[in-house]
Formats: sequence, C-alpha cells, structure tokens
Amino acid sequence: MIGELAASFATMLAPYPFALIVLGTVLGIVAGAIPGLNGGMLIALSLPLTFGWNPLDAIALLVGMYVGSISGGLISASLLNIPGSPSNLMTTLDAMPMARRGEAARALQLGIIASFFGGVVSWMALVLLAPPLVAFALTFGPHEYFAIIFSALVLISSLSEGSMTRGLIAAMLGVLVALPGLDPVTAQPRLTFGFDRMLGGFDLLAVLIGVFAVSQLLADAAPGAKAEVIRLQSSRLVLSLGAVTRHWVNLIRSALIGTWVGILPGVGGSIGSILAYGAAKTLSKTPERYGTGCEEGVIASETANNATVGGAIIPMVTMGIPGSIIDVFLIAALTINNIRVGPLLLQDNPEIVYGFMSTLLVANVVMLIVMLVSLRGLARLMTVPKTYLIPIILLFCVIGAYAGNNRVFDVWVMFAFGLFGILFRVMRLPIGPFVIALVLTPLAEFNLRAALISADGSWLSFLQRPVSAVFVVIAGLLFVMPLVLPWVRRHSNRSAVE
Amino acid sequence: MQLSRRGFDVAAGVVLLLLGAFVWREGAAIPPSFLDTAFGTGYLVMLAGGALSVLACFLILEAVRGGRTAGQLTFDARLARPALTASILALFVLNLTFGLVPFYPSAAAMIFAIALGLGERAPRAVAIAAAAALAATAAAWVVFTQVFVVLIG
Repeated sequence: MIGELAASFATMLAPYPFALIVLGTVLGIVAGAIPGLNGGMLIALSLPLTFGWNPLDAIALLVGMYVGSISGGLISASLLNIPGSPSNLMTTLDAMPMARRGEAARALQLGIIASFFGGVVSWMALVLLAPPLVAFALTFGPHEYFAIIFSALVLISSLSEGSMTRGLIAAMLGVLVALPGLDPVTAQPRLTFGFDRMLGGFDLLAVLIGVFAVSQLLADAAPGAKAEVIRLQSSRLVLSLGAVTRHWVNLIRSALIGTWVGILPGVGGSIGSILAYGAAKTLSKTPERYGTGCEEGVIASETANNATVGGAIIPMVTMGIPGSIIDVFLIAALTINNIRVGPLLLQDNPEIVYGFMSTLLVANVVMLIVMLVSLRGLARLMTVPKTYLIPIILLFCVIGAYAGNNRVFDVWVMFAFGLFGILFRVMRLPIGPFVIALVLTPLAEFNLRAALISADGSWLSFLQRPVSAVFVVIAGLLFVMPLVLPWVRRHSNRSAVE
Repeated sequence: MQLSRRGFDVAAGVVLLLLGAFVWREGAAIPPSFLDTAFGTGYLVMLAGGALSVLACFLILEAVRGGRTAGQLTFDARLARPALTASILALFVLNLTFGLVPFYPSAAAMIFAIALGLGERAPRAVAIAAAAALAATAAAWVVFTQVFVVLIG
C-alpha cells in the first residue's frame, strides 16, 4: 500500500495534475470566501468541464475545490460576520469578535492552521481506515448493500436540520426525481408522462446545478442589509508556532470529532463544527469566553470542518455512499468517466482511491500556503458586488447544464430545479437528504431487486443475513427513536412530578 | 402579504399528499411485464408515492399540533428582485430554445438586464454593468466555445 500511495503522490505532483490541484484549491478558496458562492456550486459548474478528462485530473481539480471551499469560508466568517459556507457558522461566533478588537489576522491565521491540521488528521484516517473497510465491504451482497443504503438514507434524514419528517420528505422527493426513465430490469417507461426526452430520466448534473447554484443565486438576489467589512492590518500578519501548539488538545479532539462526523453519510461540515465547538466549550475551564472572541472557538470549528472532508471520502471510496453533499459531485465526476464507485473501486481502479488520498493531502498543503501567503488579497474579495456576480454565474449555470448532453431540455430541467430549490427553502426542507437520495436511489433499486430475485421475492431475507439485519434494525431504530423519545421524556417527567 | 407558517405547512402537506397519491396511481397504471421478477416495474413508484403521502400526513399533523411550525411567512417587496431575476433567466432560456437571437449576444443582454435590475441605474453603474456583461460573455465564449468546444445556440 505504501508503494502505491507513494506512486500516487508522484503522479499527482507531476506538473499538470499539481497545477490542477493548485487551480482547484485557489478557486475553492475564492468561492468559499465570497458570500453567496460555495463549494457545491463551484464544483457543480466545473463538472461539465471535466467530461472526457483523465479521471485523476478531474479528482485533482475537484478535491482541490472541495478543500479550498471549506477553508475559504473562514475569511468571510472572520471579516464579514457571514459564514462563507454552513461549515463556518460556528467560526463567526468568535472570529468576528476577535476581528473587531483588531485581531483579524490572528483569527484568520489560527483558523487556517487549524484547518490544515484537521485536513491532515482526516487524511490519516482515510489512509488507515479505507483499505480494511473495503476488505469488509467486499463480503457484502445486494441484501447488505440495500440495507446499508437504506439505513444511510434514514440516518441522513434524521440528522438533517429541522424535523425528521421534513428530512424524510426531502429524501422521498429525491427518490421520486431519480425514478423517471426506463425501468432497469424490464425497460418499461415509468413516470415519463409520454415525453420521449424523459426516457433517460433527469440529467443529474442539471438537477444539481439547479438545486444548488440557481436556487442560491435567486435567493441571493433579494436585497439584504449591507455587511460590516473589517480590514486587515498589515503589520499583524505573523503568528508564532507556540500560539497554535498550546491548543493541541483542542486540535486533536476537534479533528477526531470532524473525521467521525464526516464518515456519517450526508452529515457534513456544519454538524462537525457545531459538535467540536460544543465539546470544546463544555470541556473548557472558561466556557463563558466562547462567543466573545475566543481562540479555542475558532480552532475547534475550523479544525472540525476541514476534518470532515477526509472523513466523508471514506464511505465514498469504500462503499460508494457519499459522506457529504459535495461527495455526490465527486461520484458524478467518476460515473461520467464510467468508473463505478463502491467496494470494487480499490480492486478495479486502485489509482483512483490512492489519487483521492494523495490529492487530499497535497490540496491541504496548497491551501495552507495559498491562504497564508495571499491573506490580504483574499480579504479584498469581500468587496465584489453580488449585482454582477449573480448574472455572470447564472450564465455559467446555463452553459454548464447544456454542455453535459448538448440539450436545451436539460437547461429547462436546471431552471425548474432552481425554482424547486427555492420551494425547498420556503418549506424548510433540507437539501442534503434530497440530493443524496437522488444519487443513491438507482444503486438502492439495483441492489433491492437483485436481492429479491436471489431470494425468490422474500423480504424476510433481509432479516436472515446478519449484516443486512443489523442495518435494517439500525434504520428501524433511527426511524422510531425521534418519534418515541419525546413521548418517553414526557412520561418520565410526569412520573417525576407525581 | 403574511401567511401563518402553520397554514402554509398544512397547504404544503396537502399538495405533497396529492402528489404522492398521483405517483401511486401512475405506478399502479404500469402494466405487468413478462420480465417482471419479484418486484414489478410499478412497485417502487407506488412505494415512493405511498411513502410520500404518509409523510405528508405526518407534516400536516405536525403543523396542526404546532411544535416547530410557529411564526409567519412574509411575502413582500423583497421578493421582487428574485422574481425579476428568474423571469429574465426564463426569457433567456426561452430564447435559447427557439433561437431567436444568437446565444452570446442574448447572454450579454441577460447579464446587463439582471445587473441593472439588481443594482443602481446611475450612468456610471449602467456603464459598469455593460462592461461586465461584455467581458463576462467574451470570457464564457473563449472558455466554453473555443477551449471546451461547447457549441451552443
């Protein structure tokens, strides 16, 4: 494994892939830093450009964007009090107060180094955990696969923002959007309503661009209050090593929390950073300082959100289950190159798995250098007016949706799903379960039908195999717990009062 | 205009319930195939439609019982800009569909119109919007049509 990893590093450090990693990381940082843009939007728009590329080049660009965008949000969180992405939400609580009292550069540098540390720890987890997990996943059949995907969908829905009902509704709408087209077994049309263009189903890329980019841009078009922009003071851009290392316990704890949360399908950086921030505050001797410009808060949040990146790649390369929404795009990039993501990936395309590993570390190093060197220039991005950004990005959305299949129909699909995304916001439906269900449904259906065919149509067969039975029970518990727990709490409270 | 969040959620639940029922009916209408094995073509469609209907009932129940559904939903003048942006985008895609104006000139017009709609209309702002529209369209033409050979329009 070490030899393959070293060979992969050599490949990714060749001039062309390395240039793509640098380009992706820089673009990701810029997208993360500009409020209204985010990593998902940038990667969705870049996907059409990677058609026909060598998959490793696509990985270099897209993983660079992933790492860059998660890290870039720190800049607007510190200088503008606007989290560049939901992952930077907790960072604003302490980075902005630090910036207001003249410590903007210190907050940014602590955040950048913490992000790098989180990225490296999650990279180590990816390298150490992926191979044994793949070996385990290779023993799975369609029963186990379906049970895992099913429990992942229930988990995503139950952990998403808002009520579980809304999470499940969003996931079910994702399933519905994945269904139109030809039945994979009988080739009968379903939910096509007589339109020939629907026989191939909705183009995944057009749906993703619509739901992520177009809906966000339309929402951003609404007038908002003018934000306070804090300028960096040029004389304070040097941070001693000791200023970082004295937070080593917080760094390690937050990195482990972020990596673990990243492994959970669809949970993502925002939950990781909230949990790490919460843990740091709870275990702190001075919890009252959190939220008033406390260095530990910035470090906990930024370490954890970057650590989710490596953690999220683990279930993707081992089982084909996206650990975060952005992993959905990475799966799409490989799928359009006829590479099937799952436990066979390490066996059939080991260079892809090792490519993810090496790119993740290189992108983190590039992110650290780029952000530390160009901090002052990046801070100026805060002043780019949305007025011009919104229509320009909309043009890129239209071309991106069209470029996949050269069909105007896909542009209409993108537009419709842009409005659909707005409806999601108004109805307070979480977007994560929708997108992940959309991607996982074909895989789930394939395995469900293969399992039923092999078991002569017996649904009980899912409970007769140990691994699938465990995951079905987990899914059942995840579904029932949020419904039962409030009742149990109410009942125990009543007993206590009596 | 203000709507109660509870009323909106009930209405959304009813729409989702009807959508689920419609999907169920579509699934049931798919005729059986000789290739059907243990799981017919329409079963998954019916399953998804049925599950959506049940979840919609839960949403309605949640809304009726209160809980997380308190508050107001405001539809006011702030929605004018997103609506204007969406309308201009729709016109742009409509033009792409029927090919009335070549793609890149219409793209420049779209950027200019949205930038004007969202920003100020002072002479300097109009000039900047026009310059931004031309520069962005030229950049898109170079990147997509010249470099990546996306033939559009």
